[in-house]
Formats: sequence, structure tokens, C-alpha cells
Amino acid sequence: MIYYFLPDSGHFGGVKVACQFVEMLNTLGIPAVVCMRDGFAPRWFSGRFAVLPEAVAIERITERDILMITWPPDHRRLAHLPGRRVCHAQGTDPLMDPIFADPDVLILTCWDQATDYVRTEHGRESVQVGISISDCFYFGGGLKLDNRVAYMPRRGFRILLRCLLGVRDFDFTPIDGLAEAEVARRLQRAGVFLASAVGEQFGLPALEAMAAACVVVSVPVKGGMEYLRHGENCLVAEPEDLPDALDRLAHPSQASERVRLRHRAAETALAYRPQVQRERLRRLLAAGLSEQLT
Amino acid sequence: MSARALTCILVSRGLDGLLAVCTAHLETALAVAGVAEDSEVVIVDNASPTPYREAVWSKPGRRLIRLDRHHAFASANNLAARRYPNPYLLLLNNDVLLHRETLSGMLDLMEADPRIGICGARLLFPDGSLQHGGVVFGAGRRGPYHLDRCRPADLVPMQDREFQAVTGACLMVRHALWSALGGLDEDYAFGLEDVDLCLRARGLGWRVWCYHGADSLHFESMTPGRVRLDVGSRRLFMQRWQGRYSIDG
Repeated sequence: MIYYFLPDSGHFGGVKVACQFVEMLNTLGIPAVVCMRDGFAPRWFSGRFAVLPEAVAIERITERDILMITWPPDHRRLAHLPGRRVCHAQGTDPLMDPIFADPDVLILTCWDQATDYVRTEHGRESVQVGISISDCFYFGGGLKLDNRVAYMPRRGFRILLRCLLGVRDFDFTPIDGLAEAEVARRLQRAGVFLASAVGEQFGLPALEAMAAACVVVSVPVKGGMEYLRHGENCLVAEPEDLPDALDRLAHPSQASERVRLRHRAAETALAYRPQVQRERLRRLLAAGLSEQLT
Repeated sequence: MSARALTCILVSRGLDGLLAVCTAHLETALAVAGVAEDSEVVIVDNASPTPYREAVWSKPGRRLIRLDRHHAFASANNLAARRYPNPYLLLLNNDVLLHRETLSGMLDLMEADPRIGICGARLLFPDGSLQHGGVVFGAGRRGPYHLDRCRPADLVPMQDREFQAVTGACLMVRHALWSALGGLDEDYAFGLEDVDLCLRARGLGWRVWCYHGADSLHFESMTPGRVRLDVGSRRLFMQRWQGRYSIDG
């Protein structure tokens, strides 16, 4: 069985990606559970995955089991346990390098940039299992407020502040610390999503906003550039240029451009539906990955 | 012993007439599933005011266990499962009238996927609304509840689905899993020991499904005093599990 270790159940994209991956493995016949230090399940998104207290999991793990990790400190912290190691890499932070360099750890990546990073920096091949966003984000055709900008205030707040103070034609609404269903509802109502987090690994909220048919205005991110295509399905601007990019987008003459970007964004996000990732994973398992995960 | 052999456990108290109809439906369903010869129907008389009589209830393939004092649902089932082991166990309430195809459908589902450890069944109220089609979990104090309960059953797709839990009113479980879990938790007075069992099974990596291919009938809570016992069980369940299951939404 796979024991997927997570530090806690807080509002972090990585927690959701991990739990959804466990659920997807289960639906494909691979037994897997999430292990939390306190044994509590995340309450801010829905799903159907089992959660075990870490202490219980540690008692049960045998040589035949698999420890799946994603949080860099877990590589050393859990090194004494029996079982094979798999890293579900959700980023290429330098703290991940010791894991990527460990030949005993099978690396699963979620996006192209991470796959390339592992190959070029560590000379290793990984298995790209993909990433997906919850179905609730996909735009259902309801009323959209063209001038409403959703934003995540957690990171890049200085840049955000300049946008909030400088661009007066938009109505700003934060989406931090909310349950996933409420975030989805707000994004579906919003016309624009502002992604200001410099150093973001993948930028799941921006992709969720694209699924909700928002025009995404984003700073460049590491892994997310595989879906962010400036001028084609979003606007990408350097942090210092973000307020101007937003201001230009707000101009009435840009109405048709906003509609075009919204359509292209929603179309891009279709490639990240859960069923697309599930099918990809199903093929990988059939091609031999299942032997490495069972 | 056949690989499909079942031990069907009916914990019952009084309600002789209902039990007779219930066992008749069960035996038809066993015959349709082709396991009647290998299976056993174990009736646990849970301290009925007028004890069930051996002469009335005994026949080939049936066993009667008489308990002189009232046992919790969990301990009564555990006792019967220990005494009459088979590859599969079926927990069945005495107020469930099985559709003739239900057991074969449940067995087929479990045999198709060896990771399915527990299988529940689609149950209807007598008015045609859904009593059970799978258990889901709400946030906060809501906890576990029956999805689509009381909804007209013809509006609920007859499609087998995976859940975190199913009701013990009609619950099939692999004996190997039952043994690994030590059966139902006997701390529960009556109610939610089934959901507890399912969550513990999922913690071991097993899957829980609900068979939706046929409509069986469930009158629900026919045993006197049941509701009073439910309250304490729910309190215990929430103490143990609240926050430790994922939210179905």
C-alpha cells in the first residue's frame, strides 16, 4: 500500500494535489492513504480519500509498502522507515534536490518544467503523472462580472497593493482561506484573476481561474508557463508591469479582447480536467508504473 | 467451501412475521446468486420477549443463535461471524426485503475487483423513495448521512458507485477484511458501527462500493428502542471520527 505523507491539512495547493492524487490512485485500483501528523483530513475541499494518523501509518509500514513524499523534510525524517520511496514532486525548489539526487527514490512529476529540471539537473528520468483541477471550477455559463478581479493575497502582496490602489476601474475580491467550493463560486463570478505570487511553482489558482473563464493576468511562474501563454490565453507581465497590464485590460476598448482571452483560457484548462489526468495515469499504470507502485 | 459462500447474519428481536418474510426474500436471493447450497443463514435472536423457536426457524442451511440478554448490534454480529465463518459475510437487518438479484449483483461487483472489501446495496422505503444509496460525509457536525435519502428512487441513477461508507442494514464484507478489523466495534450501542467499519477498512486501503443494480426494500428502524441507542452511538462516532474523514461535498 502507498502511504502518502503530508505535514498538515492547511490551505495549500500541494495538500489538495496530494489528496486528489491518492483518490485517483484508489479509483485506478492502487491502494493508497493519506498520512497526516494529527490524523485530521483537510476540510476545505471535498474528496474521497482515507486519512490515517502518521503514528498509526508508521506502525503499519512494512518492506512491501511505499512511502510517498512531497514535502522536502520528509525525505530525511522518514528515512528510517522500511518500504520503497516515491516522491510526488510538486515543485523544483532547491530543497527538493537531495530527493531528486537519491537514486532509491522514484520521482513522479506533475508538469513539464519539473520533468525537464529532474532530467537536466540530475540526469534522471521521472514519470510525469500530470496534475488536474477540480471539476467545480469549470465555468458553467452563469453570470460573470466583467470588472470583478479575484486575487490571492497570500503572496506578492506589495504588487497586489499597487494594483488595488492604482487600477480603479476594477472591483477586487480576495479568495484566500476559503473552502474550495466558495473559491470556485467567486472565480466563476469574476471576470479577471490576478496572480501576483512571484516564485510560484505551478500556480494552481491561476489555472483554476482559467477553468472558471477568468482572464488571468499573471507574473511569470516556474512550472505554470506550460499553460500561461501571453497574449494567447492570458496576460503575463513582470511584477513591476502588472498594474499597467491590468489597467490596459480594464479599458472599454478591450472588451472583446477580454472575451477572447476568457474563451481561450477555458479551452486551455480543459486539458487539466481530472478525467484527462486519470486517463494519463491509467495508461502509465498499464505501461508498468503499477508494478512500481504496488 | 465455495469461494462465493456467504454467512448471512440476521440480528433480530421479536417481529417474527417480518423476519419470516425477510428470510424468504434472502433465501430466494441466495438461490438466484447460486450460493444457496454453500451459504448459511444465521438468525441471532437478540433476547426476543418470546424467544424464537428452533422448531419454527431451523431448516437446512439455517442456524439459530439465541441470546438470553440483549446484545449490541456489533457484538451480536461478531459472535455469529466467529461461529460460522465463510469467505463473505452479509449483515442484514430483519426489515430489509432483498430483491432477488441483489446478492448476485453484490457478489459480482466484489469478485470483479479484489480491492473492494465492502459492498452495500441500494435500498428503498416502501413509498419508493431512496433509503440508502451510499453514505457521504458533510462538514462540521453534519457528519455521515445517506446520499439522496428520501429522493424519489427513479431520479437516482442505478449506477454502482464508490463511497467512503455504506449502511450495515445490508452490507457484504470479505471475511479476510472482517478478521483484520476484528469485526464491528462493540463500543457502539446501535448505529454507526457500520460506518466506523467502512472507514477503518478504507484506512487499510480497501474500497467500499454500493451496488445499485436492483431495488430492495428497507422499512428502517422497526426495532423498538433503536432511536434512543442511536444518539449515544452518534456521539461516540463523532468523538472518534469528526475531522478524520474527507468531506464528500
